[in-house]
Amino acid sequence: MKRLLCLFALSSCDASTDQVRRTFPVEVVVVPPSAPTDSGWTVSDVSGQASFASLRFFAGRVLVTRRLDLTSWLVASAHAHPGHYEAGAALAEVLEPLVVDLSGRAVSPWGPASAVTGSYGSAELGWAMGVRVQGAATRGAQTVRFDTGLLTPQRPLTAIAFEHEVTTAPGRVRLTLDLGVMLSRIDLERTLATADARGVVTFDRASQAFNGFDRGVTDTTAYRFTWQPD
Amino acid sequence: MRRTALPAVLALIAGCEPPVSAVRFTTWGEAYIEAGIPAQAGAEDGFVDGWAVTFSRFLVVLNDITVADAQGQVASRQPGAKAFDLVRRGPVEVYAATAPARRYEQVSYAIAPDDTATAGNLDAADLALLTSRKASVIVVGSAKKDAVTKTFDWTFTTATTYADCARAGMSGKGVVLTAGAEAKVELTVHGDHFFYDQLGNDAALRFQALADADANADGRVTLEELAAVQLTTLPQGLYGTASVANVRTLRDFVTQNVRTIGHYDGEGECVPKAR
Repeated sequence: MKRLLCLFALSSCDASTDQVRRTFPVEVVVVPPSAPTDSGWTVSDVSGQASFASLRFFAGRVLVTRRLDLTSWLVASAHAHPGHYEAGAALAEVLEPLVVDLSGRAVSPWGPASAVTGSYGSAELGWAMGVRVQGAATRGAQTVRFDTGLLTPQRPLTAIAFEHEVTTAPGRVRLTLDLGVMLSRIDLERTLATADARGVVTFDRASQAFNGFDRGVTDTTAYRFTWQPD
Repeated sequence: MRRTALPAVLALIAGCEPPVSAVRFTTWGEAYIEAGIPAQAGAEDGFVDGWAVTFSRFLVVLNDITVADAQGQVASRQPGAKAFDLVRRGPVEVYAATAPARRYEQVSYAIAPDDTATAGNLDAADLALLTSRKASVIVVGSAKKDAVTKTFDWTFTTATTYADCARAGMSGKGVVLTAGAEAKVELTVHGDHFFYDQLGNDAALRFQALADADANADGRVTLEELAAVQLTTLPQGLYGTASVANVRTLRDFVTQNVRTIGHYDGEGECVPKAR
């Protein structure tokens, strides 16, 4: 509520600041895993849903350690600075709920963001139902059809880096959901479950596999925001 | 010695053009490193799981203190590297320099291994320890909870530049040097960061998982034992890695936290960059 008031307050102060009210579209695209998981499983045939309740953008930057050498840059490592993130002023929000089909590969619209211009630093994703993924995982001669079960994170996902100077120039924000990051920590040998009659293994919520899924879903590098100029 | 000489130098050159100022960099580990980190009690911050930590050594190698303008034109750079034991009472001087009076938007420094480092406030044996281990940071200490004590002696070889340093609040990036005056900057080291339970925000201080990593129950928690603990074996919601790639074990986690210990004038921030 405080943040909403902050955004409202910003919108009412246009005359006394350099900020200009605007809107921009937000769109979403899903990318499938491109590499095996940490434990060597190659995941394919991914489906499922991720549902979000809201998206907000803030001025506060996420303090990160950016590696300068090329190989590390390629894996896009970025290290958050624990305990020191401040969201700062709210600059934009999308309050329309969204359900993302994780089997889709096309860019799909979320909705228009009510926004003001300014220096954007970070984003926050609010969860609706959460995330559930089904797929097939193969390691050597072994293939396991799996269902992660529904994961509903208890808190919004905050401090997702998005640094961009948003002006009145036309453009849109794209959110890329990286299933490779979300699934990178699951180990199909640690599901504490056996296959059902359909041959599908549903993760026990107390298992390391589900724990790994939780850690992947809450890894902010699974959500990449980029500005797409029109 | 430098504390008395620097104003004299300033006085001699105060009438020259351009006006010259001085900047003196100190380092301090604050009470958390000098006296220890308590268990949380009431409004007092500390470990939320009842543990308390004291350090017997907190060795760091500070180098490349750099003062530059917004365009990156360097006005002053620390020659060589200096090593310090932050358990010893501080703040202690690291580097002092003169430069034309003006605002310098870019201040940075590094905590990185350097086998040519000289002793700041530590003795020869500790300096030799740092260089022989090719270390940037060595922390030695103990953690206690009720009747249980765990010790640790951890060596890190990480090399991190803390760039774009800014004071907390509204005073902005870098440092302002005023003609004829001496600016003071503290390179503050936050020892509690080792024990954060999140790499993102909303972190709390915990030691229980680190204590439980003592697989051979000899009372010493080693980095090798931390490396054997997969984060997926820890309770969900704890030890989240946020935006950090490739952190899978408690050793990875603690090592990432090392990169965030460098600060600027207390709670001021710098942007950590791996070198």
